[in-house]
Amino acid sequence: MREKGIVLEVNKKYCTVLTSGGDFRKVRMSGNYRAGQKILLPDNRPGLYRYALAAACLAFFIVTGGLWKFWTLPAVAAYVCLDINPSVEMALDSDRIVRSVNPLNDDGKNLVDGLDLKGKDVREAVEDLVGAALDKKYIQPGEENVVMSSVVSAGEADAPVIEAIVRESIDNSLQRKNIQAEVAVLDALPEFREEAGKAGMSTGRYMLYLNARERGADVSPGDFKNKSIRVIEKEQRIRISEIEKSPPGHWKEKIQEQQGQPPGAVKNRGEYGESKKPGSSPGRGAKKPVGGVKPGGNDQSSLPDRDKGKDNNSGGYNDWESGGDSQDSRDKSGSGSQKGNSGDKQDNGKNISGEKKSGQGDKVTEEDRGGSDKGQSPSGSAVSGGNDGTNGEGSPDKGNSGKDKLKDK
Amino acid sequence: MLPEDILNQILASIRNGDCQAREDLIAEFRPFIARAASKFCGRGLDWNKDDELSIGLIAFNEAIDRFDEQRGVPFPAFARLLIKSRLMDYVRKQSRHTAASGGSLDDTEGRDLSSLELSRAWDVYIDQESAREREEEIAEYKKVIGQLGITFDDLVRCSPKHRDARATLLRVARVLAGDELLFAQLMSTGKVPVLALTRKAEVNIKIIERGRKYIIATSIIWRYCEEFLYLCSFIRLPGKES
Repeated sequence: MREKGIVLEVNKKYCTVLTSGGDFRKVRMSGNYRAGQKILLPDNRPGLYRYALAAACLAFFIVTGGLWKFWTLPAVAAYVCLDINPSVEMALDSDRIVRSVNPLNDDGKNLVDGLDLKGKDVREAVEDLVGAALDKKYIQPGEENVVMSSVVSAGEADAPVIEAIVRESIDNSLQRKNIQAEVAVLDALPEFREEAGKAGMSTGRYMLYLNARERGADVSPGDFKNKSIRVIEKEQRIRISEIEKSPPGHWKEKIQEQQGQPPGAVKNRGEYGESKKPGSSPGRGAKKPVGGVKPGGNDQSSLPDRDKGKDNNSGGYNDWESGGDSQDSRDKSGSGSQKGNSGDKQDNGKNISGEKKSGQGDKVTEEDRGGSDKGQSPSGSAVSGGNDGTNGEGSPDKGNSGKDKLKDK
Repeated sequence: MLPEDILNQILASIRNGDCQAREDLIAEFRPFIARAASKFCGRGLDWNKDDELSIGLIAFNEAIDRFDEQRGVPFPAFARLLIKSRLMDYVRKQSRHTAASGGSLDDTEGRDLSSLELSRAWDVYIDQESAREREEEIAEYKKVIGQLGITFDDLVRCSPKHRDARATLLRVARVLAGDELLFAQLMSTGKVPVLALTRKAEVNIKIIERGRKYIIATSIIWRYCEEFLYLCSFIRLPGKES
């Protein structure tokens, strides 16, 4: 109902009104008012305005409520991955409560079946999982058991704390049943988790895979997918406790290499294979001496050229291509150690990325190579003529590979 | 002065034949009738001597019967208008009687007039008169609060927008208007006796300070309810709204 008012005072545009509720108010003139007149007040002020406000508030809350869901959903602070044979991944929030459970293989599904882990503390969840693994005979007394776990921090979560908790709860639940097992808790990087996801395996397994690759083993991700960790350990002769010890920074470097360098490595491999076929003997002959015997001289002699290459950020490639020829990365790492870290890194990169075929970045490497060719061809070609098979400097190799590359093009 | 809704209840019961209520109401309004009549005549009147008061009583009694809520005029104002109208007739008649003879014509004229009263002309008359009275009343009110340094703009600014807050202030104003001493203090100093009022109305001192002008303005309306009949009956009492 509209309120009534008595007009008290009339101005040009507004009139002052006393309402029956005792409110003094200014109202826009509509018509010709006189003081003392009783008028019906426009009712929009208390009614519509308030309802509009209420509606706006409601809409705001609904929208923010909806968004809130989106905002809070991915608020996973850490991922804890448990690998026995079953692989199960759990997403934790910042209170270390399990938010979601994701079995990563068939055994994992079997393991999780019948467990309600959501909403539980990590400690409890891990104990439940290990308990279930015992019940379902994934861990058996008297055998060599391996329980591996990896922790990935996805936010501000304190990974070391979570690691400690996970380790403790695994140990606890094993001791309770008096079972011997090798327990490892790996500190993983978010990048590993991503890559592992792409490869379709758990983060921990992926780290084993990386480790195997690092050591030059010819492995494919498939080898790591469904076997139990103990089997993998035996097959690959890896001790997971060793992996556990390697500091995260080390891994990080690996990740960087893997993302930055594989294209070159892949290409290199390919060329290499082709170049070998026509005139393989010189390359082969030269190789071992190059890497093993006179790495230092090689490096220094070609240093100026290399510096040119480094200027356009391809120094690493030059170096590393020459290393690539030598096939045996550990030999090469002898020279690498002289050069310092960068050499090491590149070696690793080569190994890992050599296997990983990825076509991207070919152009870049070709350009880089072009640069290096220019730099090296004078000396390289000069020496290469009379250098076949001899154990002279490293340059002949380079010369060869340079030529090969040119052929390739 | 009785609150409007109670008055309307009484009037309704009188119209339904409650004679006692009618007597009580007339007794209650005797001073009011006397004041209205004296104001019209411009002199003090005596119940024992002056016919005008009898005419006023009769007019008031008539007002009870003829009052119509729908008209939008509060009953006291309506009664006062009717008293004035009757007194005017009376004075006119008196002056004719003294001026010339020929009463028969006067009589018919008088009857014509009373029959006119029943017609629409009467309604028009009431409307015009009440509108004029309201306007005068507001002008008077403006003058009174102006003397205390309050304008309507001030009131627009400081009247609380929230109904509950307004009800609190109206209640305080009513307490102030009902207290002889405090109100006398207000009118003589132009200031609200804040401390005494907080104690009496049991509200926070801040509430009174913030709504000072509003309290003054509304308490004046209630205090001089008879002078500001229309305003007084227009504002609904706090707490009755819900």
